[in-house]
Amino acid sequence: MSDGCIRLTSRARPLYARKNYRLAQEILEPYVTSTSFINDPKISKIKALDLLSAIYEKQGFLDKAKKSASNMIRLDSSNILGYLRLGKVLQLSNANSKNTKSLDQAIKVYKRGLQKMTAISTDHRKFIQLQISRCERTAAAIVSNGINQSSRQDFVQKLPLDVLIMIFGQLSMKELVKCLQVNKLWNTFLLGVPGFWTLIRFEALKAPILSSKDVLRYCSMSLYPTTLKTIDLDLSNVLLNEPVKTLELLAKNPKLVPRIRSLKLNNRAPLSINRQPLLKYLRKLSSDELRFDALRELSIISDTVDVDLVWCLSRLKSLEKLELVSSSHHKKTSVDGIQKESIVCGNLSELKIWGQSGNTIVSASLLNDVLQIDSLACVDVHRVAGNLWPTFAPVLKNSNLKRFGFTSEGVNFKCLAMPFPLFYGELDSLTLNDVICSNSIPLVTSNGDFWQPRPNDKKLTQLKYIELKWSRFDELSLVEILKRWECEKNLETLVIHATIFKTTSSFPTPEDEDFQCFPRLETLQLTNMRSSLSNGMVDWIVSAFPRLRKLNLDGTPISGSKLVGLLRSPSINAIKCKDVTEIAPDTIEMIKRLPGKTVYFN
Amino acid sequence: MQETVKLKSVDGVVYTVDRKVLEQSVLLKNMMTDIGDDISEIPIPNVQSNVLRKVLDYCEHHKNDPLNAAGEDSSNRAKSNEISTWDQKYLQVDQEMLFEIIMTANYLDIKSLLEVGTRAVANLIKNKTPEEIRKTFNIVNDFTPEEEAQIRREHEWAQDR
Repeated sequence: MSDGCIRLTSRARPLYARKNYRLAQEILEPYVTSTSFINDPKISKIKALDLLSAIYEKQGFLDKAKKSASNMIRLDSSNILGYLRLGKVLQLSNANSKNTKSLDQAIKVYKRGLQKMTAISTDHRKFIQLQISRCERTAAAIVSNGINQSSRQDFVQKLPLDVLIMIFGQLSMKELVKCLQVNKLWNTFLLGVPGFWTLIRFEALKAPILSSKDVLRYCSMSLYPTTLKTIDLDLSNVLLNEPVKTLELLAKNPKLVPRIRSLKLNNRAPLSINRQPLLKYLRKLSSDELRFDALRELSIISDTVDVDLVWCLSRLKSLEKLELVSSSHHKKTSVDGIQKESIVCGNLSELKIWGQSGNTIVSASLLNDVLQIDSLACVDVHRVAGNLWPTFAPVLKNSNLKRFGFTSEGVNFKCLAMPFPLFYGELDSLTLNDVICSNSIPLVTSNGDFWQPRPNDKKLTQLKYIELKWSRFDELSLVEILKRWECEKNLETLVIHATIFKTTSSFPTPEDEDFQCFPRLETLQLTNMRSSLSNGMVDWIVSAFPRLRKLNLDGTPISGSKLVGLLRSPSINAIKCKDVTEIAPDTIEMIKRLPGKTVYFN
Repeated sequence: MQETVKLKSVDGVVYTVDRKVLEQSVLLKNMMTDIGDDISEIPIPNVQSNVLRKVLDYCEHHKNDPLNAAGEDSSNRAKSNEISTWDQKYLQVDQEMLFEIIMTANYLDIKSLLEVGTRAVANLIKNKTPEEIRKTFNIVNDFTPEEEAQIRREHEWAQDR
């Protein structure tokens, strides 16, 4: 049977974690003075007092905190917790004082703790010694600086750790390195937060073109502090003078390369610079020399048609996330003839391939093979040309698929547009850009059959995110599409941009049998729509999305009265709109004064 | 439910504030829902009245802001990297007050105030030499000249740009 101490401590602890100190105090305080407390086991009594003391301390009741902490030591003078707690409270109570009395006491408590503890772990010992030296430093500073010190205390000492991380986390590597030189306290603190040093990110500075030597020099210097296990190297904002050589040097550096976990490259360059197809060259190099064994994430933005998927997949075995973006205006190039056996990327879960301006970077047939990798959970392919259906049939059958994003080239991709229930996985995010959907185009499956809806086709009930841009649905209204997908239960975000639906004036109302309610939808974007919002649609938005908070209507014409209609919804607290017609200045003033609602008129 | 709540600072000054204003503080919001209607006066220990007044000014001005939530589009987030004009003016206080505001925002769990406050401190550090940073925050350099030279040598690479 658990004693009262354990029971109440476990009730108060979550409250304490949620910063609900007063309630936590109300639970524990009466018990520690009650008679049943005395009979509880020593160790649970100490834990209860420790928590209570922390609760007092957080609320600023330092005297009470001191008392609880002293009781801990009195209960068991061989338990380290009491000394640690009392020392901390004493240190804190010195914060606004002009003398060093409490600090001296804190030092004494820590030292007594060290004496009493014979079997103490080295971590604890180190921690206590660190605290002692901290106290001594502060005490020395107070003595030497006199009265001025308390108000001008170094903020690194004064602010809590999570706040300090918020402050220094905003600084670039270059700024952080300067901070290391400020004083010993800053130096020790900053080097102790590994998160500050793992990301090496180059910003476009005065000289945005980096030579391979520069990159290597920066990176090897960053190996300090030496305890770091991994490095994320972000070169996406700078231009490399010799990208191939840079990669080569990185790959051959035995100290550096095993630690690179993420690599982001930018191979875009103005014409004046010699552009080199990165991966094509790398592929030619002896594979033994290149050991990006730890690389989990690779991202390449490229100007040249060099994104060699085969190489990436066969050489980078631990790759989990691959992002290839090409903005090349060169003629179409395709990489073909992949052997299925050469795809060994068993860990790849995210793949993003973006071509731009009608340019092909990977042929559909290659993509077809790649997309059969079972581990893929997120696929984004935008503007990759090729024969569509055979390419996408397998990916739709991948039951691990969680996220699918796709941009077509308009007419080429009619057959994907409908019906969507073909997805086998439980998708939670679906993006379809530039698709045309028409029921009059029969859908041919990979076997050459015509597709017919079947009752056991999976619906998209898990969808949380839907994005439709630049698409045409001539025979379906938005309501009908959402109904077909049966996604009402989980949908949180719906993004519609410059998309044409069947125009309809009939929107279902809550009285209708087929009315769908989206209880989780909080964000709705209906931007750059050709037709203006109708009254029916306004009513539908208000009733079908009871938890809608943010609505973006930029570029979609809307009249003042309909805007007011939307503001009836109790949940909406922000609307963005640009093209409001027929709106009286009074109405604008009124809308601006609505409590709890913000309307951004651009 | 009562519309206002009384807050008492550590030095005994009582402020009467709208519930809605206080809801920006997660700590106070939880407190108000947990305890409910019979809450008449919330003591705010360890916060001085001048600091509390200042923090309440912030909450008052931002009471109609939509609460930050997931799903914010990226352009909004990019904008929020800057400090708005009102906030900038609001933060024109001496350093001691700035840190007091940050600590109070942290204690009361007012996320947006904590964010602008820490951003203001980060801005005080940016684009300064180590010596200028020391001067700004009145910090004594406790490195020996040898140690300082050593650290500078280790990090030369970051300074030449």
